[in-house]
Amino acid sequence: MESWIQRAFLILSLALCSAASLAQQDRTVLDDVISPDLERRQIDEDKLDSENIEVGFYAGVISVEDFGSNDLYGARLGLAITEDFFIEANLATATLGTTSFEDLSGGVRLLNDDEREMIYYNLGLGINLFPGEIYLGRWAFNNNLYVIGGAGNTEFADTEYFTYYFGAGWRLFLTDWLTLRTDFRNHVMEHELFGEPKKIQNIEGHMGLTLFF
Amino acid sequence: MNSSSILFQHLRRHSRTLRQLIAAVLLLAAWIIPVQAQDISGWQDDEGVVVVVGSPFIELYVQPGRGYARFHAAEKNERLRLFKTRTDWYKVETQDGKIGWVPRRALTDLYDTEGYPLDFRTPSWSEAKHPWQMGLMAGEMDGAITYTVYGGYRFTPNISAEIKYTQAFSDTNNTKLGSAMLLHQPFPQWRASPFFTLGAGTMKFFSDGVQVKTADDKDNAVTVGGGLMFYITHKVIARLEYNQHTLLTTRDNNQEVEEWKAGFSVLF
Repeated sequence: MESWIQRAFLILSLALCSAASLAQQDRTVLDDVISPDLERRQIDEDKLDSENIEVGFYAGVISVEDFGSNDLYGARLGLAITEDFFIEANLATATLGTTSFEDLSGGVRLLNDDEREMIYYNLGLGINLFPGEIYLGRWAFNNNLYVIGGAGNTEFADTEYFTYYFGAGWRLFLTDWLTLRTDFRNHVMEHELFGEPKKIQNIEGHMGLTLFF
Repeated sequence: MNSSSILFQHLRRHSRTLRQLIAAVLLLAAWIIPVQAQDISGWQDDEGVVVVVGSPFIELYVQPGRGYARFHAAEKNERLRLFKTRTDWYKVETQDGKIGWVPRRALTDLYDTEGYPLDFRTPSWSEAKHPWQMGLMAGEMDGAITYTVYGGYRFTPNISAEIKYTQAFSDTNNTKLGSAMLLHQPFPQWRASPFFTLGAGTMKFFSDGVQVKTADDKDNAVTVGGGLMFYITHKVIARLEYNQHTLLTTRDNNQEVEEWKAGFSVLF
């Protein structure tokens, strides 16, 4: 009953607000009619080639605590917000190795092959640091370091784990639109595969190419 | 009589007309070609927009960033071709072929080639015009950590639609919630703008794999909520949000779940 009243109240306030806003829109139409007649033209910015979206692939190594160091392949999609900030989504996959216990005990297998397929995806915010030009002979290349951190989901052993990560990297612009990226990140999560809850730190290093478009 | 001599006779008969025609074509070419050559000479490419500098000078940077070296200044009344953007930086070419980057804040005083002033200020927060929105939030739902990814589209200044994907991680299980929302901002002109949401979705529960498996559960959910958006710039919004999800369970009682979260979004 209570929630019914709450909802009715919300719907009423929504209706009131939209009525108020309609009245306000009328006023702005009138404002347009009597606006000053100095003509300021707009630039058609669609004619400019905007290069804020970054797409790329990477390969590297991730050390998953207890499960060895494993090859990793991933993709990223990013957006440059300002010259200082960018956001980035990552999706990557790796096949986990065997634990020392499995190696030493003979035939024991803690996870089957499917459960060893690890996939992570995450979203993070990056901050560009120390931008500058570096010189190779007579050529100058734009580059910057960045720190990045975010959160996401890691799936292995048939379970999904909340994972946060932080790290740093280097972006070298080969041209305006082609970059070479090198990243080092630590993915932190907690699992109970061995009975007790255990927080694990998983260091990843990767290199990749990205395109800005 | 073979065909070439027919042609010859024909040409002789009309030679005067032909000469006049050639002269006319040459004259026309002489008139057009220099104009075209003049048009082409300035720019390496004809992509983009040509503007005229209105301020005393505009400095060109070697790369898009405030700390980079400035290597050239374009003077008043000089023409610039803008052709590429990255964040708030514009790549320009001067008429003598120098290429560099200019911040948007330096492009406030521009004219088009017909002499009309151009509106090219850095938009303030109140000029958030981009209809698409993408963001992420983190928060808490019944004691579990949650994160949310969402995308939205604004139909009018007041009404937006949003699609959200939320995942919550507690000690014993994971919850996934996908929902579609209608969002209303009663005062879109306020910098800190309150909003209300109404939505519906599906919530799925997964227990942790290693423990004894319970049946994975799935319920429809109805959500009411509200919050506050704060326009940091015309492209970035900070956001605080409260949601109350009502799970339409098959049991006797519906279950209510509260969620608090904070995050930011980008308009594009």
